[in-house]
Amino acid sequence: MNLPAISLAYLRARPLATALNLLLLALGIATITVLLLATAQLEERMGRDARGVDLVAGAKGSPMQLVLSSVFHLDAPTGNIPLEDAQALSRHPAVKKAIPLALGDSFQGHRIVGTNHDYPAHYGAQLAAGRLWSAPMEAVLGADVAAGAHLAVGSTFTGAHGLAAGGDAHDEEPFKVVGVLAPSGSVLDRLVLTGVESVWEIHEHGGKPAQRREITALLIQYATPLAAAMLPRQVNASATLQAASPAYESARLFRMIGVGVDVLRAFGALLILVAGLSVFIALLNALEDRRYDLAVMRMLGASRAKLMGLMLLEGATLAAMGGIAGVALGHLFAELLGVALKTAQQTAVTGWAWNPREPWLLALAVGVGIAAALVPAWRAYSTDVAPVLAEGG
Amino acid sequence: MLRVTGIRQRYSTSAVPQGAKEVLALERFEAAAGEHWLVLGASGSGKTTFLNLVAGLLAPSEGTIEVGGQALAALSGSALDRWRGRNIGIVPQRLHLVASLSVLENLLLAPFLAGLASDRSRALSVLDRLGMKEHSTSKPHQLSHGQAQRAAIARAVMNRPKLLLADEPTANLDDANCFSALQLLQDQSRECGATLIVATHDQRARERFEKRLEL
Repeated sequence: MNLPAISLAYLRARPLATALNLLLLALGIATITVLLLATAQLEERMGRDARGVDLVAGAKGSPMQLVLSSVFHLDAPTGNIPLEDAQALSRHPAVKKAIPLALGDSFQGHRIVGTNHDYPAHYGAQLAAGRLWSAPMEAVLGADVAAGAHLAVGSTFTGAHGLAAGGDAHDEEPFKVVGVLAPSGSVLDRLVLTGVESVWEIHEHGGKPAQRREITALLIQYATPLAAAMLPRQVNASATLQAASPAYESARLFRMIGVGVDVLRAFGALLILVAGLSVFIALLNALEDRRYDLAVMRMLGASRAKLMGLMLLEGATLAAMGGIAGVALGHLFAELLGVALKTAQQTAVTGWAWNPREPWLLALAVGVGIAAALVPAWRAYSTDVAPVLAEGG
Repeated sequence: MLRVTGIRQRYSTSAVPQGAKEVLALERFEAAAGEHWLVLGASGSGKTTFLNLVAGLLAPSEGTIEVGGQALAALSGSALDRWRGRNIGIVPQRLHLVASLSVLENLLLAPFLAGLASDRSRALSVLDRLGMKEHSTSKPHQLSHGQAQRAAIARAVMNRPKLLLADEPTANLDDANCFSALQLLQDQSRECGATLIVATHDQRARERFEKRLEL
């Protein structure tokens, strides 16, 4: 016999109230856990995709659209830019590295990206099989694409026009798979990579003159920190190009998403508050039923402090169970959300990751439980034994 | 063993001090170790108050109480609670078994709350002696009144108290059960060498006790 055993016996003695309180607390904690996991993973993933890309140069339009389309491959491109302007910018002394991207086609909803070998190298991609492309119409598949389409080295496929699934197929120009990338957790997993020349070949049936060729965007790494001060302005001054900073645009995006996240977080906090109130009321009611028990415990030698500890422990036990259930539920929800988003070709969220802030959620839950038990505990502490024992029971 | 000297117990309504009501006055009372005492008195004569005073659940307005050489006034707070748990066994009138715990757990509560080592075999042997072994896993609401009373007596003697107190143990019992309840209390106090004090208004109890205190 010990205090936790007594607390558990009391919790078991009123299963309905206990289950209700557990549920309320678990839902509140689960809501906040999902938000924590989803936002942290989204930020981490977007941070990884944007790492080392200081500036994106592309066609004029919305800078956020330019970043979303060419860094995260989530939005439609703003348009194309003349190849010679892009080449001129690549040779600028403030530019250390410039990776060309030519977009326009897709395969089963995955984008076909015309680029050079710097692009997979930039993300440290490793080949799981085969080799990188060396000739037009050779393609390397991202890990998710290869797994989803059941393609391997040697397979062929045709791209569809446009970035959404269901565009006109380019049947006469099949791609040949020469390599498959290992999963990297970056945007490459969802892409089909090929040479820029392949994209030109598909779209230039009539044989446009080479000097009129176009690409979609350039991912630029600065040679010196000073470039940040002047290069964007120079690019924006040109007639055909605009520059966008992935760091700045992602921060702007998160500020916009942030309002929604804050609303959900407030909702989660409200659930936890209600759960706290519910635990408080349950313990206070239980205290009424239990005046005799508490008096008997004093009669049997328990100190006031022990009874107070019993009530606090009961609140804390309930809250800890609710907190653990909530975190587990949160991970489950996050995983379900991830599965749902994965089929929609969106940035994935997983429930199989631990967030370092989760222990604080458990601490929060236990804190709520203890706070809810404070008043009942104090009343247990200050109960006078003799008159209660003399009453009927 | 038990020495009570010049106690007065008053309940004062703080607003009207002169309206203080004296519920108990006892010049002198002594009980030796192992004696069985009956405290008799009509309702409101202060029997329960007397038991509460002796158990240290109430402090007297005046006078001193010594149990086994320990002056109760010298103890307070958790020290008094602990002392009571280890030295006094109480069978309250309403029994007050803890409803959410089994009979066995109710017994184990006594050593735990008194800060003594848990003694499962002692609990089982006490239950066995009271013919309650097969009810050890029952919850209090599954017991008859007589069984619940046995469980309460078992809990009171768990820690081998020096003093066993019972408040109206024969209330609502027919003659046969009245005498068997008193017999149980006497047997159990003899078994652990405790002084027994039974408070009652039940005149049937007279014939079972040689030593009587009339309040």
